[in-house]
Amino acid sequence: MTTELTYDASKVLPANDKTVTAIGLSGAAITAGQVVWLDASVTPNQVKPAKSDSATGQGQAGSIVGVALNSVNGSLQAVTYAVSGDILLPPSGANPLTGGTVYAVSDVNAGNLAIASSLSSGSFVSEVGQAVNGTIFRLNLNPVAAKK
Amino acid sequence: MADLNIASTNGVTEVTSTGGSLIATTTAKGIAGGTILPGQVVYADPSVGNRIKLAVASDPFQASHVVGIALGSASPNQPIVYATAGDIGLSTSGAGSILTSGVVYALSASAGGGSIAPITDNPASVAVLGIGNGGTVAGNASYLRLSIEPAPVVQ
Repeated sequence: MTTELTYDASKVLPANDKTVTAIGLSGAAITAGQVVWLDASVTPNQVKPAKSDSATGQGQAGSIVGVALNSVNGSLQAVTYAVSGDILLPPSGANPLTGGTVYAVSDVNAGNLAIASSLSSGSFVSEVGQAVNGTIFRLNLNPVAAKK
Repeated sequence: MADLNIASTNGVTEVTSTGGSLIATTTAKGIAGGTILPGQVVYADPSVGNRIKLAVASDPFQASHVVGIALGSASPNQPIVYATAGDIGLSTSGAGSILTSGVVYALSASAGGGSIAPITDNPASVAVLGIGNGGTVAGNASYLRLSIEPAPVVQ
């Protein structure tokens, strides 16, 4: 069963000045800490929360671009997302970061991270990164969207 | 699950075509600091001029200096080419030892070094190598999509 990450969205931040970021236009509401994909089928291109389920995931998981660093409540708003380096995903809830664990795009709720090995059969696996410890997450985007 | 069992002959192939869904292999070159075989995970040892050696996950220093997967064989002090990104072809066999689509692979802790294994959760250190790439087909895969991330220092 998919195990999704829980974290404090109000405290999501770049971990240091080595975090590489980009800015895009939102295509939906986005919460800080969500993994986003770039929808190039619309003009202008828009970033949206990504999902890796068997129904919609191949395109989304195959187009992930980063993890949102701020929240927006709708479309056509500026969202900054981390592309590489370390970010802070402080603990909250039942499933906080665990050092050494690899996380991928969830196949349950769009935008959520999930433990990569817990994704369901039929999902399209794309790695987002690895937890350094209970707070720091190291991005390592691999948008292969390989079917499990 | 066990380490990948990579064929001893033609077990590793570089992807050169840019057609379809595959990404061409990105490679780098170094000088071998020991005997290396195709498909083995290697690290750069800064204490000996960044000689390329077999890495093992049980050694945190080695795991944190992983640089790629060997594409050829080399004896000590011979040149070695290794893959750093893109797709590589892996021919694997054996129950529980076959490259599988959607599985994340990392440096193994098996003695001897150089082996590739599925990730385990909550390990002491994980050097991620990539994901089994079967495209839209689940099950056995022929390619590993590399996304090498040396092990962070787990705190």
